[in-house]
Amino acid sequence: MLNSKNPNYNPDFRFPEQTPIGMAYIPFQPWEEPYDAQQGLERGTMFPSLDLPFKRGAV
Amino acid sequence: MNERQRLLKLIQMYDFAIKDLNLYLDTHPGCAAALQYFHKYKELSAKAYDQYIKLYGPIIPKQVTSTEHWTWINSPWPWERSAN
Amino acid sequence: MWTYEKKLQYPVNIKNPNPKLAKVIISQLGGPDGELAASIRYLNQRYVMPYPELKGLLTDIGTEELSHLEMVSAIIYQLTRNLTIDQIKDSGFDTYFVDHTTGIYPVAASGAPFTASYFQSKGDVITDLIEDMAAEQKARTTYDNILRLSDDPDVSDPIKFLRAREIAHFQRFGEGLRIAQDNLNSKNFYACNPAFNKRCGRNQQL
Repeated sequence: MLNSKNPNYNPDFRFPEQTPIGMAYIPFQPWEEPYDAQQGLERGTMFPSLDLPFKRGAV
Repeated sequence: MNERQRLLKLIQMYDFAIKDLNLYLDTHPGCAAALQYFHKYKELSAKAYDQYIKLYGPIIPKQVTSTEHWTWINSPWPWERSAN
Repeated sequence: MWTYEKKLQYPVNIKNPNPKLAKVIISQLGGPDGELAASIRYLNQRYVMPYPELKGLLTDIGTEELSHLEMVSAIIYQLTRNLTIDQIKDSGFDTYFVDHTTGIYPVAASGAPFTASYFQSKGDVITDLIEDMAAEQKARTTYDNILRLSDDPDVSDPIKFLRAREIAHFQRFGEGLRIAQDNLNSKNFYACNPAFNKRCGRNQQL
């Protein structure tokens, strides 16, 4: 069973080896240097890659 | 911003970092870097809490220190403007 | 069990009451894609999840959504302070006011009351996680729409925070789905449901 106790467990693989159709796959987020706490709170996320703001009025 | 708001803001900042790292660790439980940041913010948060509750009262009921009055119920409550 | 901390996750401090805005934002309280639906969905789904990562994730996101429920309630509360009868009549808030005064009650902007039909707890690992991913996108879109309708920075500020959280949650549920897949046989992910069948795993004979 591939879980966090398995020595082969590597959640940093962005996509699994096998991606057959009929299923959805979200890439695993790799670790990145987080925002500092103040910026994290202001942006609503500690991770710059997930900082995806809404652009009001964008056509 | 008064001193109470400043300290509360610090707590909110550190606790947010902890929460977001918590969720990341739920799906990356072996990630040493994330764990390191978690412990860093856990310590910062604990210090900020200690300062806050000493001056401004409890954030959870078991932090009440008064032997005279049940300060848990005191204003302001978080949905009131003066608490923010 | 739950501990309550006497603070909001992110501050809400709104200078100008605005019952017209309250009337639409209330959908994030009692509406189909709101925080109440989200928290109850995740907290209910967590019990039959077979993997520790998923038990943790659903508990922790479900708990965070309760704190978001509180923020949305605080926004509604502050938007409806000190209203005049003319403000209530002119804003269209009168249809809520007649039943709830300025009390907080979970309805959608349409007035439809909260219902368990807004969420599902299907008891299937893959199904529940995909429901959760959809829920986060629906919530994100609702916040986009609120940002379109709000001209008050005091309101838009906490709304932007709540919106950002939905995107983070979407990514985490997606990772939860990946963890579920890693524990199943990729020749056929749908052969069995690990929340129900004990022998449903990666080495499952198909």
